[in-house]
Amino acid sequence: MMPGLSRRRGSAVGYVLAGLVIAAGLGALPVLRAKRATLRQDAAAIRAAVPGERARLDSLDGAVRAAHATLSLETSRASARTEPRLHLVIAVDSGTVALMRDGITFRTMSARFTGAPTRGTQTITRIAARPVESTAPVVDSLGNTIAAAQADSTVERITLSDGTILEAGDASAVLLGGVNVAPGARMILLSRRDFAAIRPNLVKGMKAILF
Amino acid sequence: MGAPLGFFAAWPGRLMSAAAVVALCSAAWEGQQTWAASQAMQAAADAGAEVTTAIAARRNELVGLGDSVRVARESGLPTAGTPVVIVSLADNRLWVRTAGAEVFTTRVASGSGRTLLGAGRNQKYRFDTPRGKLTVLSKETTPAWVPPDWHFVEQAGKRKLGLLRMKRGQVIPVADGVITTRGSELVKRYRDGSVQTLTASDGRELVAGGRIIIPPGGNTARRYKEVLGTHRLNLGDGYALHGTNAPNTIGRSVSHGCVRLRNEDIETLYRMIPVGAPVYIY
Repeated sequence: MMPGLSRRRGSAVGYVLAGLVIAAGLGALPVLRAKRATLRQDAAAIRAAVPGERARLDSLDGAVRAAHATLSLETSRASARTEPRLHLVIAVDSGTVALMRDGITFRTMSARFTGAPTRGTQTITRIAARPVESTAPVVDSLGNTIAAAQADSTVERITLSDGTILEAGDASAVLLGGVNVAPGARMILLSRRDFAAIRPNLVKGMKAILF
Repeated sequence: MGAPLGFFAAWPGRLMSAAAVVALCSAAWEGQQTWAASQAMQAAADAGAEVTTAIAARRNELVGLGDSVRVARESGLPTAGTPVVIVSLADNRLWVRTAGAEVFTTRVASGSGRTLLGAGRNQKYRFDTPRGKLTVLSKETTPAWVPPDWHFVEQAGKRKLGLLRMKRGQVIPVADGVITTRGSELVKRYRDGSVQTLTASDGRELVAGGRIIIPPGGNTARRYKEVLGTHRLNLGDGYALHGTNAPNTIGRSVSHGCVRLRNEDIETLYRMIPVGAPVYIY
């Protein structure tokens, strides 16, 4: 073969190869760009959707917490209903105390709550009498004593395991908040009539379910 | 090797080579950028999937909690059709509830809480209505009252008389004959041989020699009619819900332990309450 012919053929192969490389490179560019644009669009769509999804997740978290609280409340109520022995049911939010057994409510009583009793199941740990200070005499507009207010010398109080005290007070004072209560004390005040009605049924160790 | 070198020896070859290099580099750079975009997309997808998974988990948890709440709400609810009787001793009031709803209420008389000293040493009778859960064991109409011993002790105390506990077959001499038993009856045999069946009632007990006779158990002289009103629901141990021949006592703590109702009320209760129904006294 002639040396000039061989050189020309080699140059032609070079041109073809270079042309192919250029064509391939230039051909790949739009494909890659299109692919990248699609990927960026998809990523942007996903990122845009995430805050909404996170908000849904937060809302579901809130719903789950609320459902746990409801379950806790309903479980307490259910245990109050299914308890076969006589027990007290103290509904803190409703401001009522009930005497129950076998799911039957014998008596529901309005009560005044001071402090925050611990919710859950407690027991009566102590039944004791405490002395009552003598109350001031009742006087008329001229200052004459018209009645020497004579309160009971002692009043019975029921202590629950968390230290909450159940006690009787004058009915109107209990409901209107006119009973003096030591600061920080956790007390449940019932009317004297209600307290007297349930008192003979209360014994040490009896359950009190608070919710 | 000579041919390619020949290609690079000329300017057009060199220019095409340079263009090919530029095209390759551009393609490589675009490829790298696309790969980075795909990584970013994957990361975003992973983050989104994490949130989606968490949402699905919370939803499942909510469904489970909802089921648990429903079970808790339904547990221990009163069964429909089972009437229960509730008696408040402090209020002297009775309620009948069915499925938690009050269907009847009335005033009652309950135990006085008094203590009666008996004839024997240290013998005491306490007239309390028992607190707790009792059950209607049986029901009867026009019930007869078989007065317990304390009734005779109480009557003897009221009338300032002594007590004579009579045994079956015992003969008690009286002014015009003797008092004795004949079968399940208490009779008086007169000196002329005639016989009279004796009966007693509340406040009109039989008296012999300044002593109230306590007839033996099962004797007809120890069955008082009408004292317990028209109906009785027996609760066991001698306690019952019953009517009364003293309606003015209703609403007070005056009984000997039973729960008294007006006759029309005990009749209603008799119809309403089946045997086996629970009676809660608090």
